[in-house]
Amino acid sequence: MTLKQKITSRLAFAPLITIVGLGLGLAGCGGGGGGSNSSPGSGTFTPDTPSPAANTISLSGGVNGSDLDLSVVATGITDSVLGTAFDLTFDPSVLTYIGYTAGDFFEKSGSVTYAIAARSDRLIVGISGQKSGAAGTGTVVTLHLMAKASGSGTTGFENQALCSSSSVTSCDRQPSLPWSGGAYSIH
Amino acid sequence: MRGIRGGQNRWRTGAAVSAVFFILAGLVFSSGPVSKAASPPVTFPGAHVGNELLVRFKPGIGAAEARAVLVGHAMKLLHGYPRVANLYHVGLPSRLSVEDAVEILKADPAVQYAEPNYTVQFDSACPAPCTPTDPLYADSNNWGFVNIGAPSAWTVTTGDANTVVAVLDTGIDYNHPDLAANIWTNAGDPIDGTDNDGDGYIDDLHGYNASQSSSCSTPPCPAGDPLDDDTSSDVGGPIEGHGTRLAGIIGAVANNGGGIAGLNWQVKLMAIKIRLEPNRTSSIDLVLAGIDYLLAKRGQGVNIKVANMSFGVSSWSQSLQDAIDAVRDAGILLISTAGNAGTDVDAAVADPNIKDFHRVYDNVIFVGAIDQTNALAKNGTNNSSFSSNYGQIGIQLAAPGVRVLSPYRHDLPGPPYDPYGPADGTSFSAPFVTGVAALLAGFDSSLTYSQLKASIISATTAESTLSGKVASGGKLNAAGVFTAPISDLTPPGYQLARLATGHKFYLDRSYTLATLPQGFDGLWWVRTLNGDKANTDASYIQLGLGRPATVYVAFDPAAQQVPDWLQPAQDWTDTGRLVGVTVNSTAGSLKIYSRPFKAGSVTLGGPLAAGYTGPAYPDNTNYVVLVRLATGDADENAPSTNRLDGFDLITFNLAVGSIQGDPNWCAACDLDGSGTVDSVDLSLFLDNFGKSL
Repeated sequence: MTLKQKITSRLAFAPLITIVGLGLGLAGCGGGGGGSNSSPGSGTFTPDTPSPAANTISLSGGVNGSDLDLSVVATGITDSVLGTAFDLTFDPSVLTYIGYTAGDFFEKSGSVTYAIAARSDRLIVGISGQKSGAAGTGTVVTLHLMAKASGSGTTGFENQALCSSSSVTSCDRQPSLPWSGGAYSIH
Repeated sequence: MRGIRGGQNRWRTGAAVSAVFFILAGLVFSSGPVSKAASPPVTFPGAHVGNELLVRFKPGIGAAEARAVLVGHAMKLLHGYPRVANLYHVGLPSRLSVEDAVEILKADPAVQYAEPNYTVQFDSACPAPCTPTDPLYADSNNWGFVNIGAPSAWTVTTGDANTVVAVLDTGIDYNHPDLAANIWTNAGDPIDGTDNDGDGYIDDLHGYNASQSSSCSTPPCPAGDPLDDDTSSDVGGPIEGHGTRLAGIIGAVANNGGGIAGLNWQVKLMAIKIRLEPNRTSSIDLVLAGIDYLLAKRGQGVNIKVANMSFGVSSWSQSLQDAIDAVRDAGILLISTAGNAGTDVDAAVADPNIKDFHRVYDNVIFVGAIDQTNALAKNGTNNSSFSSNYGQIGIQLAAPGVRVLSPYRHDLPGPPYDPYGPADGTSFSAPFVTGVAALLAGFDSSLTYSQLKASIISATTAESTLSGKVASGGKLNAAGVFTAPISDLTPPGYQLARLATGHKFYLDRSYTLATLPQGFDGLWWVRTLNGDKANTDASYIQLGLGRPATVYVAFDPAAQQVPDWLQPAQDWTDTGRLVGVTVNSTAGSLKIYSRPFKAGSVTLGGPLAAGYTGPAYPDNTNYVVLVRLATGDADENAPSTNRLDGFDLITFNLAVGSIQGDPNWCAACDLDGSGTVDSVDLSLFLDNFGKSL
């Protein structure tokens, strides 16, 4: 092994991480209604689907002081799923990501790996549970965003999928499963 | 270790009681929890990586038994070194300290020794953040070094005084205060009118002046004075000293209170003057004379690994080709320029009837110029006074070449002949690459010219502005060369390229790539010669992989049976995917076969090697090679494949615990090349989650 190869292979050992959250929000350009510079203190969140049907993923939540807490809710999932991947989009001039709270949906099957990275106009989210899978209704994760300015806009999902517990080498996506977001207004 | 990857370095202080003490004292430890009260604290004198050990088991202990012993101590076998029998890299659980783990293993009868994984030190490196103190380092025109990541490279090495770099140009101002300490001096042949070292050149103290070549036909001949006497101007600069400028970029002395820092703070610059006054006149005979001197010194054992040739030639020349081949055979890498005419050189590369210097040479890297926005230099844009030539086959990469600060001849009078100033041109891009090649050659003296070349090209930073303009689609990455993903390519004349649809498919054809499967855009390709499609060798193409990768072979679909080396028995899989190509306006395709490989050497056989049945030469088509590096971008079918996202996380978790051959094996997930997708890989992946690739 050459010195160069030694450096290439110089990697630190780390134990299995079961709960992981990465990154804080980065300001940038985005869509939505835009923000003003007045200090935000109250507001509303209106889900696109107030009463979600079975086999849907939806957003629910509310404004708590200057925080917007958004819960990703799985409703009546009939087929067993082992994880999910999605982007949550928002207006970075109004909102910034501050953290998350683990949900109870995938936790049913055991330990869960959460990976969340904030990018300019979105959160990139990955949640991976156990092969035994999860089904039914529950909160996948609650994402906490902080209002940094007054404004309004919409938040929703992109690049989203629920992955079947029959997945072998990569996400075997549950087809035609509707995902819905919502609208926020921060004052 | 400093630089590339920090690890969890720790310094231990306190009582210097070595681990040997415990052996001498005859202390015996159980394999259970260590009793702190029963033993004095053990410390290790050097910085080492946390949570890791290097453990050698006694002779006769096999890998399975070693693994079982480690598992019994809640430790994990991370990596073995088959050529150092019974030695293993071991990971520790987070609750167990290195010190306690060493004590536990020393007590195990199967263990010969256990020691910390000490970090590697490089005495000549500059601790991060590395900023030379030279007063002009922060000058706005000295942007190139930061642009290519030189400060990070300097944390690995700042050069090696045993590395000699030849500069074939107008000479070098070897008395320049910012260069003098780094000028090559031939102590074996002082200025005394005698060829003391017997190389056929009289008094070649700092190099050679090719003006002497036509006046002496019988050695020994005068070496002449290679002092830079250039009195011409470059665009963007006054009368200067072209070769001196190049030498400054490659190796100006650092931290000396004046001027700039070159890429190599320690190096030896050999001056070979092949451009003469007036007007930097040169011709092939002078270049040949310079190369002949280069080869003479190499033949005498001078450690020349790389030479800079910042000049163009009005035509391809058989004699120059032969000389370049001789330089190749001497193991020297040449760095040359794209040219400043703003033209695509590929027409000349593809057509031998077009008279242009640019060809695909085994041991030459041609360099285009970028401005501060990483765009190819264009006259009138971003302060550029010229337009860089380009070519997705003829030019391999790009480097800074607009408003590049470098030293003038210091013997010229004062303003406007300031000691340093900016200049434009691909001439000044080439020495950036030369300098990085010298850094790498000094860092690892075992590297061959083809390894240097592949490492430099595969380490490039992809830039959308350069896609389709240069083969790599990227710019020079000084720090990346030390961990280059592709560290060698044989035949060296084949080309590493980042391809996308619309790009050329072979080196010797105008066929274009029409379609790629999802997720294949931007992979590394080995452009082959379709003219080599008759090859039947068992060893035809060899790749050096610096990290694990999935290698794809895009093979002629008309084959009734692929060669034995590409069969499932050799772990190759027909992916069922196709690469679409356009051949003379006709659509065609190649079938994609895949196989995962660990870091190391990969050997691929010829297209018509044993076992092949199908169209015979010349009715067959050569294959090309695609390489998917283990970046962690594990899910080829994800909606977005240019970043690490939740889809990759799912693939990772599905693959944890797998080894090659398992149905859930994921080569892209094996980030540490251990052959197992484990928590180490997942942790590395999570460190980079959300990042774009």
